[in-house]
Amino acid sequence: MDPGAIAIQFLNGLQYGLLLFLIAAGLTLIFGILGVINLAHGSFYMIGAYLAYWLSVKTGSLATAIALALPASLLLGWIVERFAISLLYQRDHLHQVLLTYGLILIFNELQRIIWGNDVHGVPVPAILAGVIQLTELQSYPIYRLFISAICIMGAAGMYLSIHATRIGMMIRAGSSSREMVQLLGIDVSRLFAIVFSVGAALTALAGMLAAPISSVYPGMGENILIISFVVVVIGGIGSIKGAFIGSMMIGLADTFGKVMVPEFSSMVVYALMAAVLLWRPRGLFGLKAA
Amino acid sequence: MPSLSRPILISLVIATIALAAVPFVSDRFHVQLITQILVLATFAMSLDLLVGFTGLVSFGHAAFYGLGGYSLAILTRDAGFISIWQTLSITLIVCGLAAATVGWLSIRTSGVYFIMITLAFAQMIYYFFNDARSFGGSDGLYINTKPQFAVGGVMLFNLQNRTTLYYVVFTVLVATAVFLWVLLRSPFGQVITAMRFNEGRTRALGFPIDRYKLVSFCIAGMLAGLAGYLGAVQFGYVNPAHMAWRESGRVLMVVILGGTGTLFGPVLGAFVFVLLEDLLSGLTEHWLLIMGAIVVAVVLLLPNGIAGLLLHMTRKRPRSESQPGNLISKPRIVDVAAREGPILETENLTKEFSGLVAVNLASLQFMAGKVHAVIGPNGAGKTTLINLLSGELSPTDGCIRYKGRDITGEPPDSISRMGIGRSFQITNLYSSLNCFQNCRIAAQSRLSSSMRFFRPASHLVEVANHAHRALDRCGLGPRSHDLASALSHGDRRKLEIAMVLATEPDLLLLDEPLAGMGAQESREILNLLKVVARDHTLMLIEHDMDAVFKIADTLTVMVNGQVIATGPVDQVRSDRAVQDAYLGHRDAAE
Amino acid sequence: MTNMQRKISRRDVLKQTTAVGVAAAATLIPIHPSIAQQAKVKIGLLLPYTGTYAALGHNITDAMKLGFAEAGNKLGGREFEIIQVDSEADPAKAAANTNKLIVGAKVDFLSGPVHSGVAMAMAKIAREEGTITIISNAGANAVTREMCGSNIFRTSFSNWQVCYPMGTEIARRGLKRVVSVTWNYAAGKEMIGAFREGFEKDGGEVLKEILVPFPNVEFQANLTEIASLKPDAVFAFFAGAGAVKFVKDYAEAGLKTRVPLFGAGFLTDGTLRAQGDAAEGVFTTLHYADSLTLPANTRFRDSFKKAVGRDADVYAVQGYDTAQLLIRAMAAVKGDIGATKALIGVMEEAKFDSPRGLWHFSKSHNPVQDIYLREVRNGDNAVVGIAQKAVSDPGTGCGIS
Repeated sequence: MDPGAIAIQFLNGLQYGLLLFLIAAGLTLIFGILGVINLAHGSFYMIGAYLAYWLSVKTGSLATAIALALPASLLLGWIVERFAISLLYQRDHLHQVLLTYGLILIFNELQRIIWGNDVHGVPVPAILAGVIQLTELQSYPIYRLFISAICIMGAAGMYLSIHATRIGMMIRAGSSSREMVQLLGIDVSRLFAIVFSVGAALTALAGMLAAPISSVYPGMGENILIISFVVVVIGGIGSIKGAFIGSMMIGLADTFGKVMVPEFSSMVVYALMAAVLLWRPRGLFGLKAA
Repeated sequence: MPSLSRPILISLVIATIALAAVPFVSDRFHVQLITQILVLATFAMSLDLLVGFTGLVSFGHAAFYGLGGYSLAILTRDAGFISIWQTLSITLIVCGLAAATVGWLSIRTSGVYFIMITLAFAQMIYYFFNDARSFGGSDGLYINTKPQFAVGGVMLFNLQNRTTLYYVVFTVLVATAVFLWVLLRSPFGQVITAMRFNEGRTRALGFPIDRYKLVSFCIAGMLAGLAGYLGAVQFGYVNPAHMAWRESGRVLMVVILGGTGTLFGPVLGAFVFVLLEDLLSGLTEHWLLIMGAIVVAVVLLLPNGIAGLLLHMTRKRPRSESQPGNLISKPRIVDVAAREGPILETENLTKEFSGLVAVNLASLQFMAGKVHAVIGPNGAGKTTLINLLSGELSPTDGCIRYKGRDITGEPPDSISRMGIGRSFQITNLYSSLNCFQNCRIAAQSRLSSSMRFFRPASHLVEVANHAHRALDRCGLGPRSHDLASALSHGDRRKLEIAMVLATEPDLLLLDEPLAGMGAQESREILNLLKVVARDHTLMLIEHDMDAVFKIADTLTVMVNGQVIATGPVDQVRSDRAVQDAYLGHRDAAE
Repeated sequence: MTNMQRKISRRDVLKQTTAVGVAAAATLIPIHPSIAQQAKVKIGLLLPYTGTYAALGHNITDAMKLGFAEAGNKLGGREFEIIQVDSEADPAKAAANTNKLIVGAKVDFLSGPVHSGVAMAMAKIAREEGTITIISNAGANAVTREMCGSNIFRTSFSNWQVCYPMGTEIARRGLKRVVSVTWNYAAGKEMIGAFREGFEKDGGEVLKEILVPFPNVEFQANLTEIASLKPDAVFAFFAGAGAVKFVKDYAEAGLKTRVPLFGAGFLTDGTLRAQGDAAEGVFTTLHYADSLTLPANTRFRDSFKKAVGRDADVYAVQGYDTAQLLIRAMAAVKGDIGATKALIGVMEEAKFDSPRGLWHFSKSHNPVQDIYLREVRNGDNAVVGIAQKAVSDPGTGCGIS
């Protein structure tokens, strides 16, 4: 591969990683603070995408669609937390895995009942629809750069809120010791509800942003689910920094894996996770026992 | 394993007979369907060994099932005649090796990380068979001839015949159940049960739990491979989809639906699950919605699965364990004062936690046969000290020597086996076991190896004797058969001490043995400690000063991680610095 | 064990025994209630009704029902019933599901599936049991090659036959250096393998065969790789959501205007609306095109739209032709299902005036059909011409004489 191609592959990997980060960040918080393995996390990605598609058809604009879909996702996240997830806090991982797996089945079927089986496309907003010419043959869609920019802003925003606000402080405390947070008299149930809704909304946002480039189809949540878990585990549960590093690693590994070892590219991501866990059994920045 | 009530036992017997009779009363389709369910049941039982009995949740178990099928497919690809003995043994070996490898790499992690890493390895195996060109890829492989079930050239069973196949699968299921039952009653089984109930305690008792987990993982993997082999024989077709994470999730659901921690639970689960899937998919196109709702309902309402529900409905009061025989065990030879030098000493022992120095350059000596008390205000580092000595924590600096030997950095199980026993400040018992069982596991840890699979643990008479003696010494003899969770606070503390005693230590590390005791209970425990001190060395952390002065020979005072005084009790007591820091001045009090 | 038992009440024992007994007995009850009238012909469909391929399963089924309705809903004068089993496109359950239909429901005819892995399992059991089976989509070459059977027919296509003509076509245009790309699974490999065969025989050079992990739809890395190889053209096979994404990404990466994109028809079938402008100018080969102006096609598309409310597609056509096959065969034997040999004989000789054109079966029971060359123009697959007439899958290794 010539240096130009390598550079572009780098760009590809980073962009993929950034999108993964939005999804993984929510997941790692939910995992770390609530202590719940939420397999239905991928469903929020799908719901975000479908909402974006549906609303953009109704309102004619993707931006409006996202503006409407975000609060809707927050609300949905809040509902799911109150009525399903909160029942899992005292339960062991096995039951959490199972219950959220049941939720996946339910969400998938509801999606099919409401929106049917077809594959849908979402048009990229006109102002972002251009491309930048990179090499003689290849250009890079501006929309992808836009997504990356949003993800970076999201990452920065998350970093700031976690390190500079009161809620962020509670989240950091909760990440390392849930019991302690409760003992300090903080209203844990509200904190949990907020964390879950925000986590779900972030993932839904990722789905909305990705809709124009990934298209919208049944079962789209499951592919992203496993990968996001891999990212979270590599980064260490409860660590946003870990989720960031983990998603970058996976983004690059997946991209270069496809090009360099195509026969085994599917295995690369998992081999990477296994290697990290063998070196650091709690993930790179894992804070507490799972 | 919970002991089964008579109604359940009878039902199981009837069910077994009913299953044996199936080929006589059912048509071809149902024979096939039930064969399929029985294979799934065997697969589910193998997972239950991991999840329900060892406490390891694996999300990649389907990989071994798939490997079982693929081994057969690959072995029989070009051969015309293939013997079941050859193919089955090779399959079991392959699966065992794979499980050993995956297990060895995965067991270093725990909790959700373990779940994920087992998933990762399963996915890697799945992608290997899916992507590599040589094994049929995503289209799968055919198995064109069924293995010959012959002995000495004489064809015993023709596996082409559906009824014969049914009985072979049925026999394998029953044999697996029996095998697991025997396994769980053996010393090995006792240890993994203990691990599931309280891993920290089991490790503290001296069991190398990683080794036990690995053995359990291998056995489970081989049984899963056996199930996969039979599945492949039945349908003559293998596909990487059998190894996908969805299949691992599916069998996990079967186990939970049926009820973990029982042997008949997974079998029940297999029946219910397959029939449910079948029924629902015929009802409506959106059957997955109902399936999802059922899964959610089961998790919320029936956390112990159907078997759990049945057991609960026919619940028995706790039964007594069998009485051991009357062999007299040899009295313990006490080698207390006969040594020179301290039995335990530390040199500049230091433990630092990201900037906080919890224990700073502690150099202490504990003489054999004496009672040593460590006192100090809260946060002084006493518990950290005891954790360092028992191996729960590794020191940042300094060293620890036991009987002259450097044991710095040794893990807790290793330290326990050397003869250092430890009790916990917050009682750390096996709540769901009775007192005798608690002590028996402790006593069993002294066997050279508990990796014995075939004779029931109740046959270990000497172990039982040690357990009884420990209980008697602590005055818990009459309460041997009471559940640990039913004991009073004081009795639980006594049981803690009894468990430590059952491991026959030379040195006991006791973390606040009198914590939370009322006056009467404190007296009892103190008397017990005095008795124990006669032929053991004690080191205890305590806040109750009266008790300390009654029992201790030497005193060590710690403040803010620093040892400010150590030596004979009277000497330390009258030390000015100690009084300033902690004890207060005598003249002022009197 | 000691004899300390609690007092067992007889009611407990009875309760438990009954519970288990009922459960055991329930397993012996047939899965589907037996039909009072044994005279109904049973047609079993093993298709995906849930999951990513559900749309295909529904279209095939609805088109079959349309075909039957047009023939008065009788086969050879007899009533029939359709038993549908959701395959979920899952090969792990394929054998069990096939059994459910063949052995459990004792269907007289079996049809389906979409997924080739499912087809492999299905074909094996069908061959063993002898049930007449009509593959209405899965294109795995083996089904009408080394795994063929006298009772197995295919009304769809073989992966080979769809792509081989494209190899010839691209070579004919003077484009000598091509990169092919598809998912790393059996069907994908067969598609680009067939393309390669057709292409290389006319002097073409396949620079690289890029295999994307299935069902991954992140193509950026691959597109960059394609760009760096600087080929004359790209041949791709993807279907469904993957097809939508690939074509869109290909256009956005600026490749479309510089490196013409060719593909198997599935790349642009059922995906055009989602792909939008990105698909304009893409050439594909397939045994059908929505815009075919044959009278049979116009008629079919109208009836399908009226009856089902959706637009017909290649999958619907395959389902429709399957129904025609059954109608024709049963009419010839006057409803006598037992006359398997006669049925097969009639089926082998069947000639179809189908929405896709005229076709008949090859010796290995695969359609011998025209493969059309299509170009996406104004959001439609316009038929540019016939890439190759009467393409017949070689049927290597098939033993049917």
